Amino acid sequence: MEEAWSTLSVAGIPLGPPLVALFDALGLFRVFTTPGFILLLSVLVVAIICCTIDRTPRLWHSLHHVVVEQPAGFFDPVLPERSRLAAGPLDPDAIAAAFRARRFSVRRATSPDGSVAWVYGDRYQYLKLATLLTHLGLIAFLGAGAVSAAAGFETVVFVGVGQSAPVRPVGTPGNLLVKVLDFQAPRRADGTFADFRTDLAVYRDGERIARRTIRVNEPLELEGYRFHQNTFGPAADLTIRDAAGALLWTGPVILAGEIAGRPQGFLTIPGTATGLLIVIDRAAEGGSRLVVQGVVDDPATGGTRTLFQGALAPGEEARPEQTGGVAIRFEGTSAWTGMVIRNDPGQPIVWAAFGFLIVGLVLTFYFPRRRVWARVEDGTIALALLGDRHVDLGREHRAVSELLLARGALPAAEPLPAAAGVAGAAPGNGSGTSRSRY
Amino acid sequence: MGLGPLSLYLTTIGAIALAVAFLLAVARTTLLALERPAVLVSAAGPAVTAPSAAPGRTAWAIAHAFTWVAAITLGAGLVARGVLVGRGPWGNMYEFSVAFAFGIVAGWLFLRRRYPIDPIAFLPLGVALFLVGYAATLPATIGPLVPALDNAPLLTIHVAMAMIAYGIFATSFGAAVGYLIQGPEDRFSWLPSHRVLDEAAWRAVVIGFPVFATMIILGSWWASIAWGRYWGWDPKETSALVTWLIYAVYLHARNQRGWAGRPSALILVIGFGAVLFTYFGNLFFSGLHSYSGL
Repeated sequence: MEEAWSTLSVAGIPLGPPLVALFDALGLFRVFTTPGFILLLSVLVVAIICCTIDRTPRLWHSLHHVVVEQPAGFFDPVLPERSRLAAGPLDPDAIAAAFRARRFSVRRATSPDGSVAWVYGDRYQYLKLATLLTHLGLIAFLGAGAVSAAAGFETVVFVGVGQSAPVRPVGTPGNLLVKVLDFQAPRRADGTFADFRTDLAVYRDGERIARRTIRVNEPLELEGYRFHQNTFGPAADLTIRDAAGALLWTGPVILAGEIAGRPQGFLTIPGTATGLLIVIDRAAEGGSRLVVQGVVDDPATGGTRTLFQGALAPGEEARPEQTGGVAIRFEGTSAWTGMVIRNDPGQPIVWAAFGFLIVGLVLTFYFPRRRVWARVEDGTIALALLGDRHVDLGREHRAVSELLLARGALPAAEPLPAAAGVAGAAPGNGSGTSRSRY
Repeated sequence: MGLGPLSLYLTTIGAIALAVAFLLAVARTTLLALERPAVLVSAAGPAVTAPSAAPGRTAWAIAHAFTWVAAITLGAGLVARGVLVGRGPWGNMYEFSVAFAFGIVAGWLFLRRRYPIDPIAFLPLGVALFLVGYAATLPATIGPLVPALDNAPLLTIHVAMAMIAYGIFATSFGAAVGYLIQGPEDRFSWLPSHRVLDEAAWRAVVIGFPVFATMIILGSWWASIAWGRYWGWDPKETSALVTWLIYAVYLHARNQRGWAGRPSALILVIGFGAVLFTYFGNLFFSGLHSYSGL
């Protein structure tokens, strides 16, 4: 992020560096790990929990306590989504059957004198509780983040071809060891990388327990760990011997750094105090060459002192008298691969959280509760509908009315609800009914 | 003709149709806004005010037809390109800009079937036209994907979800702008009533919000596969989450006294601003979503 901002300029004026300095001073580049941000996230979790706890009893009450026997005023045609039909041959049994055909759960009641009958239909009655699932998902997601941060393990390893590296610190019981058997990064004709893949083996106690070629989108999963292909770069294959010919080092030296746009790495020669600063450069005649500088600590200055400096072509060897008493042979170039190795106990929680979240959202928005009352009195059916905000209640009203008409009811004086949707639902389509006390 | 040129031709036709539809929609809304009641003076007596026929009706009918042409040709162009590349055709900014425009047009056509919101058509169509215009400035060449994107099923579904959600949110934006102009007192007869605009915007968000959530979840899943973590506060991830939260605030606020009406409409305008920021953000910020092809 800092790099992106640092190059910003307006009308030739470089604004990037001072902005980077300002943002850095404000901690914006690390904002998501700052105590203030963590505190805000914690406040968010507490707020969601408190709101959910506060809302749940009222939510349950509105779902569970249903008044079937509504007074005549409840069916007043001036209210939204109210209409009347002449019952015709339809009795309460037939109305109940019609409601069931619209997938309503039906409850019924009759006045003590038998003059009034109520038929009540409720669809997706308890799915309104899905909103709790959504909020649980949010809390679980943030909780998963906390678990990942507190108990998760992550390491990034850069390993040359043929080399190995421990996953956990050396000495950890049951530790895993990764070994890069091969690495390939084929290029396309335009020079871009078509793929990069590592032939990876995993060992425990000297025994190979897994082997797989990993790619960016194909990690290796093993015993709770995931091994992700992450990055790669060039390496210089060196063979180093002391003056007596004893082998000190053979293998790739990882060039993960960069100097003047060229790959650079550093190796402390085992068993010596000499360090090698290594850069792969392009040779004048084509191909690559190794520029190597030998350095040792200089107690007098507190820095380092250059012992020798030179360049080697592939296959070329520097004699010990040229390079501080060691023979350095540049075998050629190879590659290193960078892997992210993770063990994240928060991951199962986050998938569960996502499941809760999406199921809750889908149920809330696509299966909203809707209710219909029919009051049958003196050969008239008075209809009233209520629904959540997500319900196109005008459409539901029309469908119910048309079903009753199809089953024998007769139109009353009032017109049927207009076409579905807001377009024609003049008397209202449920606005303000979601918090009904009924 | 190969699928590549076919896709390009179809997209070009779609862009032209979209431009025509947009201009006609603007013309129609302008005519509606400028309409004055016709005054008829009869020989026998006083002036009589009579309602005129809805002005620009023909213009709108043509605009609507061109909108359909745009949706069909842009969609067909995407299908052709998708068949050619063997994945969802949204692997760079050119492809996704066209897909985003298609999503807007399709979302608009879907919602206008249920809500009489034609006078605000120029708003979502204008955004879609801007996007195809922007796409026209980008290289349309078909190139291979970087290895990190080389997951055709997840790329197709994850970005398709973004296309649907972004597209439908454009209509909620248009309805919200209409609401802010109209006001709860229904100031202008040429605009849909505030209630219609409010309902259309709400419906759009109700459709888009779970889809947007699914997009984020699928992205998180993909990130856990490709990058080793399900969440990394990458600029695009963060921006998408903020956008989602803005729409979540809207869903909660709209039913709260004091927040219904103008404040909710304003949240939707801010929300769509966040959508555009999420969309274009990778041009300005580095991060793991820097696959624009620019």
